[in-house]
Amino acid sequence: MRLRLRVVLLFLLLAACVGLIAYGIYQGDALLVKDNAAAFCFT
Amino acid sequence: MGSSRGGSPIAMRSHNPWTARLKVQLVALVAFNGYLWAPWGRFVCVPVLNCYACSLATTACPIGTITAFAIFQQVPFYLIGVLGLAGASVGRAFCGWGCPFGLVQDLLYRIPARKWRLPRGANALKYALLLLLVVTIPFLLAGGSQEDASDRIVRQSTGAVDYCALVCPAGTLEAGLPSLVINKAVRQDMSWKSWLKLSVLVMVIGLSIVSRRGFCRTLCPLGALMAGASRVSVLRLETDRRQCTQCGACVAACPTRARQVPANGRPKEATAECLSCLDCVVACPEPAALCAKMGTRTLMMSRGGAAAASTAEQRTANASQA
Repeated sequence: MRLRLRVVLLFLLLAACVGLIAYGIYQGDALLVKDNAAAFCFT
Repeated sequence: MGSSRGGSPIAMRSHNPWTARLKVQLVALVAFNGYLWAPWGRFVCVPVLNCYACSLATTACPIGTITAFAIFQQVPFYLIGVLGLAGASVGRAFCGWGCPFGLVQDLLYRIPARKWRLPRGANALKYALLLLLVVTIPFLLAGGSQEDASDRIVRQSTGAVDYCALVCPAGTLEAGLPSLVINKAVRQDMSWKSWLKLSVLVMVIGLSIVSRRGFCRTLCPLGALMAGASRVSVLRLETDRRQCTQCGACVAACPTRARQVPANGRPKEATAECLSCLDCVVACPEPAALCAKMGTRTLMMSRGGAAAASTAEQRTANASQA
């Protein structure tokens, strides 16, 4: 029973993460990530 | 026992998992820094510390991304999803098997020198760095519109007070030093920040020689962010209490002191610091006492167990041939 609960919770967690990725991409997060490749400062 | 329920353990095929890990790390190094798909690959954020200011970098760094989003004062849904997905599926295996800076540390630790273990209290430093230099200070200093913040980042203007600008030794190694060698203008424009970052890199190199994954444990904000992932992930360690003799070999082999032996019990399973490197499984001398499982499938089991399983497999093969 405990194992089954763990599996269900993990599945929900993974599904939520996939949902967050999809929502983030829809929001344009991925573009923002790419555009800030120059965020590094050395000088 | 797990091995009987699951599939074939990797240990049957490879009796030297450290070599297997090194190979995976080298492949990951090329994959993340091979300029193979750099023009479009930087959309992808991978949970390893790999500076994407380096021209060769093919994926985005999560810490640089969080800092940028803190400056933009936006919630990084995409990044939270990526880190959550990686953490829930394989824990911190990306740290143990994929991180290029982890590979650098592992190689540095091979240099003969007097080794010492860091106190557990030093682990707290990375949480402070995450909270202050990756999230809070960039968020508070940003203010203004996204265009202003973006302008501030791209132009690398003054006032950049964050982990990437002040601390990150991976950035110094992968992006700072090459640009210092190649670009004369960078050499001329060196400031106190440059010297600070070079000093941090030198200290981290020294730390890595004397302490296994010392940087991961004390200074890596990604490690702080992913802490505890091994507790909830599908990939997990399992100790067979009947086989475990409490010899402490797994505890000694653990690079981050994640495994512990309580005074009156068996070694504890993964704690927040576990990198899922599986060195403990390799070090365990008892047959099948310790195994790594992906769900119900056994990925790797301790050497004794692998030897026993190989023998059993050979016997079965001989019997079928006869």
